[in-house]
Amino acid sequence: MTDQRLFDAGVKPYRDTGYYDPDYVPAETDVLAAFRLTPQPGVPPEEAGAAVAGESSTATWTTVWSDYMVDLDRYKAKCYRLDPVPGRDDQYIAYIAYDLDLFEEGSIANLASSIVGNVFGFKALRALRLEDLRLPVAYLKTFPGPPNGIQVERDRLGKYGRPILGATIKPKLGLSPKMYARAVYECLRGGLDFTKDDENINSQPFMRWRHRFEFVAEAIRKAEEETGERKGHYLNVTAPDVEQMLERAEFAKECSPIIMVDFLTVGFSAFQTLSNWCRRNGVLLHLHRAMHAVSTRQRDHGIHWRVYAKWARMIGGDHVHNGTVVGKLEGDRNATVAINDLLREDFVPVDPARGIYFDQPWASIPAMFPVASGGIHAGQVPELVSIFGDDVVLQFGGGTLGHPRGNAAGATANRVAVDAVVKARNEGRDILVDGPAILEEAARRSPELADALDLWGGVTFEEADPTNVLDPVEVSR
Amino acid sequence: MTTRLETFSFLPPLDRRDVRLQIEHILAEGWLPIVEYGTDPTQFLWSWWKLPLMEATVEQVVEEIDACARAHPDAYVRLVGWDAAGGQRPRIAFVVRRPR
Repeated sequence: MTDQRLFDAGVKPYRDTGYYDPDYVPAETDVLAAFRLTPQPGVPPEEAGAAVAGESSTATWTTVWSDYMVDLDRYKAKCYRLDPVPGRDDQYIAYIAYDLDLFEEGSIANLASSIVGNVFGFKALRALRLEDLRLPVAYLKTFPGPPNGIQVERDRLGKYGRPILGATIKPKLGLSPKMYARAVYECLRGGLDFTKDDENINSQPFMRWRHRFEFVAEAIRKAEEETGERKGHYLNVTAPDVEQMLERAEFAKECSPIIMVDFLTVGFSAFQTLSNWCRRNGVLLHLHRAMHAVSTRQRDHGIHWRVYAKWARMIGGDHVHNGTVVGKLEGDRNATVAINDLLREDFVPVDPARGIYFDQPWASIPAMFPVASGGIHAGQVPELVSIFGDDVVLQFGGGTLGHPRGNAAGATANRVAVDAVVKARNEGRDILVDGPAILEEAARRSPELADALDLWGGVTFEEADPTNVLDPVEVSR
Repeated sequence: MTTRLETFSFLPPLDRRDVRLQIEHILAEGWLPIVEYGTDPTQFLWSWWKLPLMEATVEQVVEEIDACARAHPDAYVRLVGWDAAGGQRPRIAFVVRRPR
């Protein structure tokens, strides 16, 4: 190569510079990404895949002299596989491998800035979606994971063998601190384990955070004394800055065994700071995913929720909202159940029918609770227990507070339904087939459950939502 | 006000048949039955009645629950299903006897 050639200014196709390499065999320690590519018309998929690999690793649009000072073959990301998407002739799944040394240890901020930092605005692509990431064990070992995990949380609460029950206090906004705590107390004394601030309850003029925390602490204490069970309320410590967030957390730990944060709107670094604080202080951490659907919902563009869910487990929350399958919020059933596995299991195998693109071992990272919340009620308990099993937080908001005889009766209805369904399941009954009979049987001894079934028994949300469905595994022709 | 006792405490007290069915479930899952008792159900650590019942039959677990209740008539008796292979944790725990 002559000097003349070396310093030729100009735009090179990425695929000619080693970013597309179908012969590359990924290393055990590589971070692997599966991107859904929709190239602009006329852009070959190899070029689009190579461009994503290049822009998310070492490349810029032209060659620079300092490229020659670096072992680029090592630091280059490689697009090593391109699969056409069944049923879409304009779309491909591009598999890209990244060397471990491209990422700072224990930093989701760095991982995100690298892998989804610049490439989504790329002109050569009409759309781009990060479908999945394979985090190698070597990288996972640099993340602390949930501050407590399912096992320790259950031991702290003394609650075993059934789903944990919660509810979000409504109306979302406007209640005074004392009336808010009244609503909390009624739910907890009636039988819920937890109640919850909503995502946008922070510290507004009608209810400043300290007042809410103080009154809620009293509600929890009183409910615990009366029931003998451990209770909690997710005090939302989301705040304008990290200093104030930690100030609220410090105060909250005297009020409730669990706090919460809107982990996406506060940002990954703030979330990680809070997770570390929870680990040091023995506090449970609930994560609300406010803002996720901005980037997770559209099938062709953005970041799939399963990737955020993995990040949530790596950084470390003890609970995170996932879909309900049967409720009012979107979420494909297979995809939602697979994400439950990603949150709870030690190993999740590749399974295209469930949207899992890679084997994912979880190394030493504890399991976290998925939270099913939104438009669910006692009548759906058989289906919910069948889908989620025991290691889940079921949050009945309207399904508790909307009970005709109030929050406590609504809470009792939910606990009766869960106890009856879990008992029947353990006895070997088919809870999907016998579900209605099991609930009716229990309702004969529980007027609270009878009222709930009368009111909501027939309510389902089954509008088909084609926005965010999984690909067919194969298309029959 | 009611003192609640966690799992199954929102149902009528379990009868002998109910308890047997739950023991069958615990054994079928491969979990270890543990019988424990305590007078203050709000405490986390209850006293153990003997060691975990390795290789016990349903009949033997029932006998141990009865023996524990006879020996400690003022205590709550709780049955735990311990899962050694699936996370080293209790997979179920519920009160089978209340103080007389």
